[in-house]
Amino acid sequence: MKIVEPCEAMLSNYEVLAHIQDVKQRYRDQVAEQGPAAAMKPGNLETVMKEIIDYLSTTAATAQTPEATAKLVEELAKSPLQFEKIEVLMMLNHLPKNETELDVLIEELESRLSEEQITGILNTIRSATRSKADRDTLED
Amino acid sequence: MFILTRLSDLITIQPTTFTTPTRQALEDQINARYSNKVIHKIGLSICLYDILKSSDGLIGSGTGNVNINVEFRLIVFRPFKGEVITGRIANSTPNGIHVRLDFFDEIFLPKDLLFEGSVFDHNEQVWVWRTEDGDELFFDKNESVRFRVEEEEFVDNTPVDPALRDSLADADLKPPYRIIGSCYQSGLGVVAWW
Repeated sequence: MKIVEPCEAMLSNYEVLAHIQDVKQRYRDQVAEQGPAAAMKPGNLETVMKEIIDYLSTTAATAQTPEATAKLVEELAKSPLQFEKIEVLMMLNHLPKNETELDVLIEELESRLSEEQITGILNTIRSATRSKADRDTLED
Repeated sequence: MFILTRLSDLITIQPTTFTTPTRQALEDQINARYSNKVIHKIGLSICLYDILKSSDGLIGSGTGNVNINVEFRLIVFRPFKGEVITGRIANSTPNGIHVRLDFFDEIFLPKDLLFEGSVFDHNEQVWVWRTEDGDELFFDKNESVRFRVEEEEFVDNTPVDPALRDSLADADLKPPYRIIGSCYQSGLGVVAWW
């Protein structure tokens, strides 16, 4: 084993969830095509995939769609407020709903941003989130 | 919270799996080797993300195994210092609070890094935060809790003699990867508080 690049990129929770759901779907398709023998996957993989899905379903990742997420990243990254990359990533993972939640993620929030800017950011984040009602109709 | 790590490794495919497409066989082998395992100083690897390059398969003498050099990327759980994560309280001790994520259990919030004015209630076995206003807020078991990553510890466990393995208690083995978190800023702590 050789480590070529310890950290090539950072992934958001949403990307991880989407990737694992894709993999699971691919495995299900294989079983449908080739019969149950194809379902034999390493046990450690099954365990970790289940646990990751369990965990990420409790986070904001379930409320995101690919288009809305891409748009949100673009808006936050291009924002004149100059957020750090990790700040954008954390906002994406947590989708803060109020000022206290945002304050934890952004260092020196009050000195960097004015009241209006904070409200603006929270609104941008809210508009990128599917509301719970939307999600329920989709699942039906 | 998650990163992509690029590795290269020699993957062996056994003749019994020659009927599966090579790509799938490689994926299964890589996942079997790395999934849900801690790589020292890298983090807890979750699963294969993509395969970037693979060499031609070579059959060594003596076995029918095919050896392939593969370069691939893994999804790895490795929160950065200062990251805020939400987990669940697994249990509390006088020394601090143990937090778990569904897939990762080794997170500890030591008592010195909890809110000022937090005390341990021995009867209830929970930490209680007495705020300046005189309110009592409880770190109840199984509550969702937000914390900040302060430190990470990697321990390279040396292999144990198989004959001695049974006599060793689990407690003697240190977790290979451990996260120390803090909880003393407003907005952190039990999610329902804020």
